[in-house]
Amino acid sequence: MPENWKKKWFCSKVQELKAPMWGLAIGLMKHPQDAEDAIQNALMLAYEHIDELSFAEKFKPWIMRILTNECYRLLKKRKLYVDIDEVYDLQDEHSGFDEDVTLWQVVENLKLEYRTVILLFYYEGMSIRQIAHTLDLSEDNVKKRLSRARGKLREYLEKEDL
Amino acid sequence: MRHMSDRMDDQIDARIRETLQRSAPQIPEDVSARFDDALSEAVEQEKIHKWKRKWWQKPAVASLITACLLVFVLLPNMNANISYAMQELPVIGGLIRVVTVYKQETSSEHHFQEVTKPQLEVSEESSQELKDASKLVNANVDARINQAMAEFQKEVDAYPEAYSGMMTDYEVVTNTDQWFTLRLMVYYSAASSNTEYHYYHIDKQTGEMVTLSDLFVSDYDYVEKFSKEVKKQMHDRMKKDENITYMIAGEDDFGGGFSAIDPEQNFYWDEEGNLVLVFDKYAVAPGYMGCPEFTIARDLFEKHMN
Repeated sequence: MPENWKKKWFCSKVQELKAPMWGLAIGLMKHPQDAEDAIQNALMLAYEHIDELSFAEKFKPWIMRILTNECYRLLKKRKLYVDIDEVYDLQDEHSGFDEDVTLWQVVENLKLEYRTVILLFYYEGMSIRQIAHTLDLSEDNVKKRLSRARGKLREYLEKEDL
Repeated sequence: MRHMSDRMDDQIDARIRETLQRSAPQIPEDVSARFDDALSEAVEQEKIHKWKRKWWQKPAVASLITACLLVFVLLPNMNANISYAMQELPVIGGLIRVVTVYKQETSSEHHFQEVTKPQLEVSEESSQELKDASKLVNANVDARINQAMAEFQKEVDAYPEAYSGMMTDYEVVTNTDQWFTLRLMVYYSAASSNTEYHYYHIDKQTGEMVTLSDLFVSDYDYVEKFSKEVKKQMHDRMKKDENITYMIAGEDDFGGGFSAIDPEQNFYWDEEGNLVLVFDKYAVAPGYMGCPEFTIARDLFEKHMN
């Protein structure tokens, strides 16, 4: 397989996805340096495994899956996995939003499991099926998480309407 | 009722989507530059040591992306120069030379195509056979490239929004006094990627274009002998390395799989004069195995050659 073409193809594909990759990484990692680390590792991994991109898969969900997994790996490694800095738990009664909080910030403060499905579904535009594949979850499980997290976001939108 | 609540959900989804996109952080310029560096490093597969892993600590390297863009923009105008430069290469085997024709190089938002077409040229004083053979190779190469372009165009027409690319390239594999082999590579990348190799051979002794079936005397059943050998090598490799998988007919659940070589199987000669059989990607193994090759030792067939 011609190496130079693979490079060109990969570069052009990634260039198109720079913004959404950054959004996903910063949304999951929260800290810019961690997000950059995750992206760097994900790009390395993706290019090493580019030949495994199978027939049915599109490039975007493929690389987003690699990036998501890399973010998870780093979060786990840095023990950020526990929800020390998760401000809003879905269960808590905290329903007051500061006036200048954006929807993005609301999402950033969700627990990781909700944050991920929200970002992949609403921000990356991935299907339930692709998300299930990415996170190694059942489609039902993804739907469940999504509908619970959606409640929180709906609350925000209703507040914004007032 | 269900429809109504579905519709409401859809509306909320659309609003969340839109609001989220609007409030998403933009990629800062310095991060964007480091992103490009990381991308260059990834495709160059630079081994980055742990202690210097932070890419912002590295001096910015010339971005490959810029290089890519330059190539796209400049090539069409450079055609004449490239062709000229190619002609300056040493003449192959004293008789045949290969000239590159950049036929087409296009890219759009979702697609890009880079067609590099080789053409054989033979010197004036060559035999008529050699002239005919090179014309035949050229016609074959032309047909294969046109077919690939048509197939790609079909894909583009069918899925205009899907990212896809197509590229052709070539390589002179063998170049001796006796033999000339050209490899044409066709690389597609639609939702997936596929690679095809096509080999074109000229026997310089006779000046004729040769395919696998021309090599052996008629009572030598090379298809059967080589198929057995390939199967044996598949088993040996799978035994040695559990990461290797070949699909062999009747031996697993894949359905289909390898049963025998094509009488006109792709091949080339290695430096020791052994025959290397080449299979298309996906033909006998999963995609990650690429285009598998099997070497048939020359002692197996040497006595039975034409």
